[in-house]
Amino acid sequence: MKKILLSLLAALVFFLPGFAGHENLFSYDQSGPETSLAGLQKAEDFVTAHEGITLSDLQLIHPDWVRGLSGSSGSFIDPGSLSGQRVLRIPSFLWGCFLGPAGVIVVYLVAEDNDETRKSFMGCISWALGLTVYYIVAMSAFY
Amino acid sequence: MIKKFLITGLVLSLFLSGYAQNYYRISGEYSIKGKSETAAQLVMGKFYYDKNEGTIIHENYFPKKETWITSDTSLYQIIDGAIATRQTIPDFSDFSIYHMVLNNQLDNFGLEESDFTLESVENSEGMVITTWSPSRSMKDHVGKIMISSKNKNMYGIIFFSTEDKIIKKQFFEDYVLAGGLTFPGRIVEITYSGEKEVYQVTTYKNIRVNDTQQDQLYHFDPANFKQGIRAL
Repeated sequence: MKKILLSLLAALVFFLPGFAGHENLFSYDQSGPETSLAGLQKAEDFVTAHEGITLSDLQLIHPDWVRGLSGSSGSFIDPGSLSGQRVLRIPSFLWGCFLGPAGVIVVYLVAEDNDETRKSFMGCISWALGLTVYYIVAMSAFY
Repeated sequence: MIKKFLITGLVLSLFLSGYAQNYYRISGEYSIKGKSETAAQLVMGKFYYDKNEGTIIHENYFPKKETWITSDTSLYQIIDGAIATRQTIPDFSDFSIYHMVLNNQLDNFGLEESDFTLESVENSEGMVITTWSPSRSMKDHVGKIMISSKNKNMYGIIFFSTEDKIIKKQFFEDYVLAGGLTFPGRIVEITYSGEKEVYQVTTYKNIRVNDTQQDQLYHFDPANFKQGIRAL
């Protein structure tokens, strides 16, 4: 009996740390994005409060907020795909993320680049996960 | 008695099925903020989708007034009331997230039906955490994925490299309920580049479902726009 208890205790000590770490992975320092994007947040608030303001206006009034800001609205930042060929300047990850399998096909046919196709596939996975969430929510609304 | 139950069940199922098909429009406002060492991005705009029209409209007002429209096999860029560019693409409107949300046709798109296999499930501190591993044929290209959910809503996704290092995290926060559908109000994305973290935050607000007062915003007819197409 004592041996069994000791074995169980040893097993718990051995296995528990492995399980304990996973919830910690799903956390982040919220001050990170707040600090990094503080200027852009101010710019967003300013644009919201001043309808019709242009990027040129903002660059004159608050150049520090919009330093390095791209003038194109058709592209989005995706650090994972700063290199490689983007379709329509839209990161391959987002093609997959917003359009799912069709996005992967678009990247595959247009970019003809295995790395970009892989990124769009990763986006497709995110898209599928997002759809799953909506499915769960929608179903829970009915049952 | 049994007959009453059957009739009640039939009426209920007809009601529910009719109600499920009743979502046909969704719109809202969004912003995307991102910053890397060398570039920054701020995009603000509105989106409109009507599944009967089959047209997805992204109307951006910052940093540039332009509209991106997908219709059938065309992707249009509208600037100053004229079609600036048009590109032929596969018809993907039925695969858009807006379409799938409105139709509640999401059951075939979970990871369980992909090339990923559920490796483990655990409950921890109010979260359900699942770990998914890629199929043997994909293991050379992608790593595992971990997903956590809270209160039946997705909370976080973690992407790993093939070397089992974290390459990206996404957090879905501030869910809002609009017309019976929930939508994340904020998505935080953290990309790990060496020792550095790069952030991108997408926010959604003013989500509207089945808007019946602004029909014209959901409709697109290329003939109504000035010519000047530059086909890509």
